[in-house]
Amino acid sequence: MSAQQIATRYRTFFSYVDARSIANRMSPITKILILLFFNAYPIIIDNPIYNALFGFFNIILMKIFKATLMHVEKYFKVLMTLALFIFVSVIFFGRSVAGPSPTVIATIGPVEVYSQALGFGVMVYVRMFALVSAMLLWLSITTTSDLMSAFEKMNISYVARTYLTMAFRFIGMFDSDFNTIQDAQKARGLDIKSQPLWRRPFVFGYYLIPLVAITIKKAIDAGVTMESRAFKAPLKIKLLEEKAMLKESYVGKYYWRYSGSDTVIIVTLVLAFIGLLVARFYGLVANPFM
Amino acid sequence: MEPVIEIEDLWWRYEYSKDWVLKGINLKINPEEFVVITGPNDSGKSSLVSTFNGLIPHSQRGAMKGRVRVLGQDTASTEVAALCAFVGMTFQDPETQFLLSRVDEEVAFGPQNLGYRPEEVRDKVSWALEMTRLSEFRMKDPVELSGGQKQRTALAATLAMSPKVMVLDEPTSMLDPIGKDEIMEIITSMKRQRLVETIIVVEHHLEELARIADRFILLKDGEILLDAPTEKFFSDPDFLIENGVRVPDVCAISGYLKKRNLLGNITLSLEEAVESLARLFSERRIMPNKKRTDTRMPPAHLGDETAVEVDNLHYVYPDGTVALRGLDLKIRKGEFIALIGQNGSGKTTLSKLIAGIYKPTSGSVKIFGMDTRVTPTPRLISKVGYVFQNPDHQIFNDTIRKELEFGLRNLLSFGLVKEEEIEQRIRESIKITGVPEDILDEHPFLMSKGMRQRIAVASVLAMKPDVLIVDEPTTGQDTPQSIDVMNFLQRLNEMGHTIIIITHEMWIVARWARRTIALAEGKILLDGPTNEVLSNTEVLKKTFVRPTQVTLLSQSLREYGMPGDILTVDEFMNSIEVS
Repeated sequence: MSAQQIATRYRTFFSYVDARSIANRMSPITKILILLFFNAYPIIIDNPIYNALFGFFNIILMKIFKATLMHVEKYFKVLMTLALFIFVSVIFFGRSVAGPSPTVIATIGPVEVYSQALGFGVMVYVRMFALVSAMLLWLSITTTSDLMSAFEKMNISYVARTYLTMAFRFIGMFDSDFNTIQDAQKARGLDIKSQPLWRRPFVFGYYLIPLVAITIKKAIDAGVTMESRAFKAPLKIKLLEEKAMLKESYVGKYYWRYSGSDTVIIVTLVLAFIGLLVARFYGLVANPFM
Repeated sequence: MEPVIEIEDLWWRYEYSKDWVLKGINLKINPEEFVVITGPNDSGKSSLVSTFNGLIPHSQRGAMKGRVRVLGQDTASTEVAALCAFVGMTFQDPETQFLLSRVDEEVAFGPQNLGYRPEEVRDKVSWALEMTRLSEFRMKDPVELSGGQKQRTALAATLAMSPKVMVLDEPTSMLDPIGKDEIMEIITSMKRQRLVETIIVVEHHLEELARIADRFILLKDGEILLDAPTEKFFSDPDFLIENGVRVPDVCAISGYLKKRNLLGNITLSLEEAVESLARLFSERRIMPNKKRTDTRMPPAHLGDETAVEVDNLHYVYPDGTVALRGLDLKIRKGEFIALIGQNGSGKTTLSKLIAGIYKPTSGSVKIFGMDTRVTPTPRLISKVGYVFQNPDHQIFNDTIRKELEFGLRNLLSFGLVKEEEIEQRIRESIKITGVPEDILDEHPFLMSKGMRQRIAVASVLAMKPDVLIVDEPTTGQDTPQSIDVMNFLQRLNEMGHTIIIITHEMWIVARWARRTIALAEGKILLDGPTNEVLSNTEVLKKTFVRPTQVTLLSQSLREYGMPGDILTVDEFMNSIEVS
């Protein structure tokens, strides 16, 4: 049995992707362009309907790419809590975003609720949903070797690409530590699920402090390990005088891939991006609820 | 012969400390030596080995005096990256050493940094993975591997850099028994196949190393207390025990017999000990003690009340991993129980279900009759406390006092404790755990790990749980500290608390647990008095748990009338009579 067959799934920055996923055949550079385009889309588009559709499209893509969705669901639950805060804000402080001639649709005591402010709230929330789903999609299908080899082809220095890749890798580690901390706090009676919705963001503080402390510790340990494995070694060291640090690395050589279908995807992404800019210029993607 | 490492009058002090961690160390390590450095925690072991590849003084801030030369190069004037070509180093926790997300990428990182061409790196990666028997896992995420495989990955990553000196800093301390065995096998083959010229291991667990190492160094309070070839090092077990070293069981027993002039030498392996003792039995110089008394203390307050009742318990994680497959279990109030089994056997899952942190997928868990599926968390935690392995997962307040109050305040909001009781409960819990009262207003993160562990226990104890679950109470502790922690848990047990520990340390189980439950693949394989469970070596093999050396020794001497369920050296001594 070959090594390739043993691994049934590959670790990505956020979770895992099935070893047979078509995402693994995509070039690392295509994945970088997906990151850029998919994150630019919700920023260019104001129309919440288009953004909502885009968000769902990302989730469908995660399914098609056979990414593990277990962790993703949790972040969408967090988005639900965020929705509450956005709508409370636009209800009580919506005047500043309601425009010069706002339409009052309800009054709560002395507070007037404007339809434009609610429209703004919907736009902001759905845009966040689209952005989060795009980022989760990318993080769920991209591996450390994808990013390292893509950066290598983009001529980003070895030190910079290693640091950047490791920074992304920490995202997945956050998630696992967060779960343990949640369990540890539950053992002392703090269960976020039993808290009212309005209190949950404050309770997060109890999780974040240990999370930050542990992350700093892990970062220090990672730094020591990197040093012990000769990171930032001088170009020539005594034993290896004849071996100059070569431009092409192991990951760059053995994990780089590119095929005709990548060209098709890249051309499509570039054309779609130009199309979006044109659509925005002609006001075709504006928020109809404002 | 030119030494590979030469240290002259080395002193080292960390930036924020007044005390010297290393005090005038003089040491020479020669090529082809296999050296073990041991000693209690905070004796300076890790600091000493950090000077070998220049992490001290280049990456740690502090003051250094004296000189360290590695292969003739002064480490003070040579960069860490350059020294790494000669000295490879692996650390205690394999997970914190993983930088990338595939085994082969991880192993390639070092040689790549040293400037090898991709084809050379590929060859080195393949070789290192073959040597550590990881070739089939090269595409896997290192984090997904078992404990032993993780540490082997860390070893492969260092081996691939082809160092002349390999330093392993407590490589087995966080591993389950099978993981420990895997690492010891790799270290043995590293020596036999001469994969590296010199091996230096920092370790508390000396049983296996005593068989293969050439030389041992005992460090205490920053000074070398003893530096000798293996046999000479173990020639006075009492001296080692006095200085916080847990000597192998066979070494302690042979030391006792040597003092009575029954043995000429200290035995270092089980095989040697069986041979020597069989000879003594045959010559009738020792014989089984017919009047053997039970030295094991029964639990102080074992009542008839059922503290925990587990019925047909199944648990499946959200990702589909089946952790428990139909467990039935009853724990009486006042029991002292050890949960054993390899990683992934279901120990931690079962404990978290008992503590109400997880809810059963099917079946039920009842705590003093309360079903965890329907009982609110605060009500459960007033009955069951759970202390996590790493105290840093739960500490977040800016003072120790607030940390201790936290659980109580959660109980207060459910009317399970009164405001006026809080101060009293804090005082009681710090008294039991030994947290000094004058540090209550200090920041918990400024405390040592041992003290943070006590704070974590105190914060759980303040809630006065009847059942206390402690996950790996001795991880990262040296022998005297481990004994201290376990004696503390025993005191709690004597006060009526039901204690459940999760551990990989069989000597801890043998000495303190009265009942042992062995799990494998989500099922209970063995459940009974510790001596019965730990002497069932055939069934235990399925859990990859190996009994203590003394149990194996007594079983090998059954034909001479020795009981096969001896758990500790004291029990063994109590079971023989010198003619």
